[in-house]
Amino acid sequence: MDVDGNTVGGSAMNEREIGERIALIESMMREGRRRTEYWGWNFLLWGVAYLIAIGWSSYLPAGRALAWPVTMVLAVVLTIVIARRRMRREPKTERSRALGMIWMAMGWGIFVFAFPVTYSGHFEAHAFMAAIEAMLGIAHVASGSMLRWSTQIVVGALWWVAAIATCFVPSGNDVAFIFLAAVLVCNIGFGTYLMIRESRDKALERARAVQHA
Amino acid sequence: MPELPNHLPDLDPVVHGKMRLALLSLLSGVDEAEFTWLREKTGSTDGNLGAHLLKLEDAGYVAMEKKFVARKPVTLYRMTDTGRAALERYIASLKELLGTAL
Repeated sequence: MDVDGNTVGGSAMNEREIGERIALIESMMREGRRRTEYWGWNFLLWGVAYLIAIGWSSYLPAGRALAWPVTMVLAVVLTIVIARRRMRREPKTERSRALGMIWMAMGWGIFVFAFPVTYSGHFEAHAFMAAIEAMLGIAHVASGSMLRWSTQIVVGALWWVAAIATCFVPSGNDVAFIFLAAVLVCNIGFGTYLMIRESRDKALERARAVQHA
Repeated sequence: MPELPNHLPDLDPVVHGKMRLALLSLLSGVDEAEFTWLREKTGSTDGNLGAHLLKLEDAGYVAMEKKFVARKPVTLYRMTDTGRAALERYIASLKELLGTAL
């Protein structure tokens, strides 16, 4: 007999007790794998950051050159601060680390690419924006593939469509328009959809908790 | 309810406790988890949870690490290889018992 008062010889367990133990293992393993990571807020944040940068650089001549560097750095800082607070209590898994690395690598890649190109004197809007859109597509498709989540894979594919379209449009304004449309769908739209799903999932969890109480 | 024949496998008494079984099953799916997360998932009290985790630690089935995250102390638990093997043996024993019972 162990400290819980359970007899641990296999001969003393009946079929019901065995079934209960197996059900406990399965439910706890499922519970452990269930994640409550919601990143809708982050897609929305970056969508708003892009819109602010576009608006600032297009319509406010004062400090135009600072529009993108300032908004992007601020978005990075906000992402780090908010993510740390939200993810503090969630357990680490290989999958969550891998997903984080995908997005960090994309972010660093864009940073390493964008700043030198912008200030090198070799900037060309079509190629630049197509590269950025392609990188965003890669991150979404990789992340969606890991999660087996077709919605996010479609979002990634839309960024790739934007990248291809950007290569063929005649003017810089068209390039900006394509990027704006992609941001509205893939950041603002996708982010809003995720946040609605999050609040619905949390409401369901609360209802489940009340039922079991 | 008929008893099973007594040539069947014995079950690890450390794993066999329901709370400890639940904890090992939870930890099997993550790299590491905070004490507070384990408490939330098991619905246990601090004292009860702490006692069971200590027993698992003494058996070498979980490892505990205390550190500071954003200047706040956190206690992290992770399953050891020994713990993973013990859980797998326990599950295999249960399946063997169930197969015999059916």
